[in-house]
Amino acid sequence: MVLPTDFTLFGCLAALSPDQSHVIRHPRSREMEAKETSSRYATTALRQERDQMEPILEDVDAASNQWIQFPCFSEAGQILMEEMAQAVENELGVLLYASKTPSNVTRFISPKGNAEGSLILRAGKHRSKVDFAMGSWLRYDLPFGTLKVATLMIMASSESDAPHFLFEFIENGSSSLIVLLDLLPRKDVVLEPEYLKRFYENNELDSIRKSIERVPQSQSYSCASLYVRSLMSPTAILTKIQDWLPSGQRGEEALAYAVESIVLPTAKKVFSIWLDEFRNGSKEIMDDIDRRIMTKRDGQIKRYGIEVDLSANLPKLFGQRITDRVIAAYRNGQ
Amino acid sequence: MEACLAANAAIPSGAITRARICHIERRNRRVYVGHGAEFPELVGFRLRVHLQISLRRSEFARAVVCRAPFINVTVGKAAESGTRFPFLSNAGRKVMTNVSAIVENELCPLLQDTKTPDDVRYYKSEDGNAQGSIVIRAGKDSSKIDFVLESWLHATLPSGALDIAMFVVMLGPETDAPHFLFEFIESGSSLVVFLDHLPRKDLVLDTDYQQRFYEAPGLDEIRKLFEEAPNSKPYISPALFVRSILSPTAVLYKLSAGTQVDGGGLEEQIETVVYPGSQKMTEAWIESFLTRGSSGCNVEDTLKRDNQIKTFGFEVDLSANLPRLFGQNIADRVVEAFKTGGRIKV
Repeated sequence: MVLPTDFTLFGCLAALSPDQSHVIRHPRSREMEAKETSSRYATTALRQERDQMEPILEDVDAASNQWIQFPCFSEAGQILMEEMAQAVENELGVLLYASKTPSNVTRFISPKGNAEGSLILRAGKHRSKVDFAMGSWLRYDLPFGTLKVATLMIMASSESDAPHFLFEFIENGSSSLIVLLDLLPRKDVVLEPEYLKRFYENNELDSIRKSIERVPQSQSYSCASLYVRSLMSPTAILTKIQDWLPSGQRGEEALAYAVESIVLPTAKKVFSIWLDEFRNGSKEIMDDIDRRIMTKRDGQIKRYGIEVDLSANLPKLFGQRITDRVIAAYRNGQ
Repeated sequence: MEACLAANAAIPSGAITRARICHIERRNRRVYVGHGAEFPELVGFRLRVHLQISLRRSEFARAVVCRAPFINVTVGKAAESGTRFPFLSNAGRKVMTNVSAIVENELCPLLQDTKTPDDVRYYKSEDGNAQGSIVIRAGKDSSKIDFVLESWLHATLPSGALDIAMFVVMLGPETDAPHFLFEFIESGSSLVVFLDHLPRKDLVLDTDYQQRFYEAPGLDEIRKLFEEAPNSKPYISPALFVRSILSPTAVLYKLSAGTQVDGGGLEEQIETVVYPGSQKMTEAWIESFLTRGSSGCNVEDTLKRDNQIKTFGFEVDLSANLPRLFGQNIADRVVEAFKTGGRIKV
């Protein structure tokens, strides 16, 4: 298997024999891709150097152009997340730098091996409307099965008032799925109903939400965290999908079907509505005070919406050292 | 009226499908024959109202028809008739009167007498198919209360009877404690309950507010009572703005009767879930109002936000639904009373 890596240190590729499945992996920059095609096999020296490094993990498809992958998920789940990540790359790639997230954050594993995770950030280019794009996933083994959580998030910058985009996909063993799909408001919509109208009322968001509500095997889901609940917009999709179909089919195939025919098209639709709003519907905030409030608010979202969640859950699984590294990378925003 | 009859004749009110006035007697002499009646000159007098009722089950019909049903009523002013929330089911009325009693016990000394005009305290559509009442009491000047609102609406629609009862306490900018909202909607064999402490601030920006008024008082536990009740489903308001004024721990559920035949299921839901749940939520609100509020920094923003809630939350709702049921005149009267009824003018 040919495995690329674009360590800025090495600047070329390493290949492994099939029985060695550990190699250091980095998301690729465009320059690295050009070099890859010229040389596909590492020298002995490089291999030695690589072996001395902290063994991290895993393989990447040589031909892929993906900035993040989701290896631990079900087949349908992996396709879902990777297609969405690809859509982010296709539509926003020009506004984003390549990821500079350290490799021990783009992939980490617990000492016992019962949990693995990945966090990849890509900073928005200077003065673009994107603050950063974030992809992450976690898998951990629990007594009743493996829990896998994937997140794709695009935080808008203070250059515009566009909502943030949040997509979270959770595989609960193989018995159910949880989907969270939302455009997070940048303002208090009670104080400013115009914001509500511009971004949430004049489009299909609520009818998409209703159509998910009507799916027979779906049921409403409540976040445990009150703060995350308060971040959500009035049209947020927050649903749990059980492993059966009206046709009578049950189990993993039923879930796979739900992912392919319900979750993926819905996620794409919502993302395209978000894109349209991001490009065309958003405005620049001219008033200094308003802008400062929005920036403060975004800081709260980053801190209490995401960071607190990481600080609470990661130490139990990965220990404090890995947790601190992950949070540092997250705070760094790239 | 159906409720009164049921109370007299020991028939479950759910068994009555229709009740019609045959005639009305005063001291054994007929005074009126026909469907509905208003007797402003007879306020205070006792009348015997003879009824013809239709029942759902034939065995009841046999029993009652023989007894020529009637009820004794004392004619009162519509808004002061012995029964508040006159059209709700018994269990529903108990819930509403319990909630308003808890609030009034604490707040009575802080409230002025109502200035709501009579024709808003009771109004009726021309075709008689809809009746309603709104009573607003403004808070006294230093009370921190804007107003307390109590309202009910009863409409006979092609799809069946609809009963909406509402109890709201809106606070002034002198405190940042949440507003109190309780709405109870009975229609057919289902019930929608809205029960919430409406936040005064942007919870995303102010995490201390959320901790103080939602996490510390354990409101989510109360919400879970409704979530976990049998035959309960989350209800999503069709209005996006209404969704956005609610808190993260808002109780917003639709409860349906179980699969029991006699419809007793819904009354049981009300007694075992809604009554205790609404009591807990109301008591928690009183506690928040009395002990957890702090005096406003940023009074201007709070005022602006409260105005938005009044305008886009309540007024828009009233203006949308009242004209259809009662015509524009009544709708305008009611909206005007709402705008001017509180201590804080919109």
